[in-house]
Amino acid sequence: MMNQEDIDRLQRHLDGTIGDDEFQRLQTLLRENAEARRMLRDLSTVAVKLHELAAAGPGNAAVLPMPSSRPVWRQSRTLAAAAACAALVLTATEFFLHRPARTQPDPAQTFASVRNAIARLPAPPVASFPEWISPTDSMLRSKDSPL
Amino acid sequence: METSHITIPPNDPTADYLRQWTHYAPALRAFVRACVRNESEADEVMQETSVVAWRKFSTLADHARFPQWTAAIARYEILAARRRHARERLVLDEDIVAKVADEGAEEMPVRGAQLAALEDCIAKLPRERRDLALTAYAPGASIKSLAAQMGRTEGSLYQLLARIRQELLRCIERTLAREAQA
Repeated sequence: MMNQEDIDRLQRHLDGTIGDDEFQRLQTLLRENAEARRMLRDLSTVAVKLHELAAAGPGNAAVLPMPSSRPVWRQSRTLAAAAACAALVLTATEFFLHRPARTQPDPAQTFASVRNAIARLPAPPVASFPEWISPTDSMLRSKDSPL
Repeated sequence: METSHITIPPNDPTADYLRQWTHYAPALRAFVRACVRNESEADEVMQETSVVAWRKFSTLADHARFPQWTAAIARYEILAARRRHARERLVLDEDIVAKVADEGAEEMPVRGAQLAALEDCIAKLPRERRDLALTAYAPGASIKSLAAQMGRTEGSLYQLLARIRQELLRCIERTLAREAQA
C-alpha cells in the first residue's frame, strides 16, 4: 500500500525535482511495488494530457494575468487607434439618431392639393362651332323645295 | 492559390498507418513518458518509434493489435534511449524501466479510456486550477517565472500542480468505475 509520501516522490520524479537520496528510495519502491509502477504510468498519462491540451491552442491557453512587456509608445499608438474608432462609431450613431425623419405622404392631402391646382387653372375657351343643320332640313328650307 | 485534390486509394498502407498512429499516439506517449526522465526524451523515443513502426507496418497482420505492437517497439526504443543517457543523473535502472514498460504495454486499451475520461475531468476542475495547470504545461512555460508572477515559491507551485494531478487521477478512477457499472 502506498502512502502520500510515496505518491509525492513519484510526482517529484515526473517533475524532475527529486533529490539524489530520494531517487534511490524511489527506485526501491518502483522495483518492489506494482501499484507504484501503475501510479507512475497513470500520473504520466495526466501530465501528457495536460501538455496536449495546453499546446492545443488559445482556447486552452493561459488566462493568468501576465505583465506586459510591450513598449510604452506601442501602447499609446494602440490607444490612439482605439479612440479614433470610438469617435467614428459615436459620430455615425449621432447621425442616424438625429437625422430628419422621413414621413409617408398623406394621399388625401395630396389629392386635395392637386384638385386645388386644377381649379386655379384658367377656364378653356368655349368652342364656337356653327349651328348644325341637317341636310333634310336644309333642303326643306330651300326656295326650290316642292314642299 | 491553386489547390490539388488527393485521392487516397482504398487499403492504402500509408493512410492506414497514419490513421492508426494519429489515433493511438497520445496513449503511446503516456506509456513512453512513464519510462523516461522528461518530455524531450519522450519526443526522442516517439520519433524513433514512429519511424520503425512505419517501416515494419506491412508485417503487422492484425491492425487491432496496433497499440500493443507499437508499445513493444517503443519498449525497445525506451531501453535504447536509457542506455544512451545512462551516465546522466536520475536514470532509472534498466530492470525497473523494463517492468514499467512491460506492464504498460498490456494496459494500452485502458490508457485510451483514461485519456478520454481526462477530458471531462480537466473540464470539471475549478477554473483557477484548470488555468494554472494549462499555463504550467504550455509549451515553453517556466515554473520559476510562473511562481514569481504568482508570488509563490517554486516548491509550493510544484506541490500545487502535484495536488491537481492527483485530483485528476481520482476523477479518472471514479469516471471509469461508473462507466464499468453502467
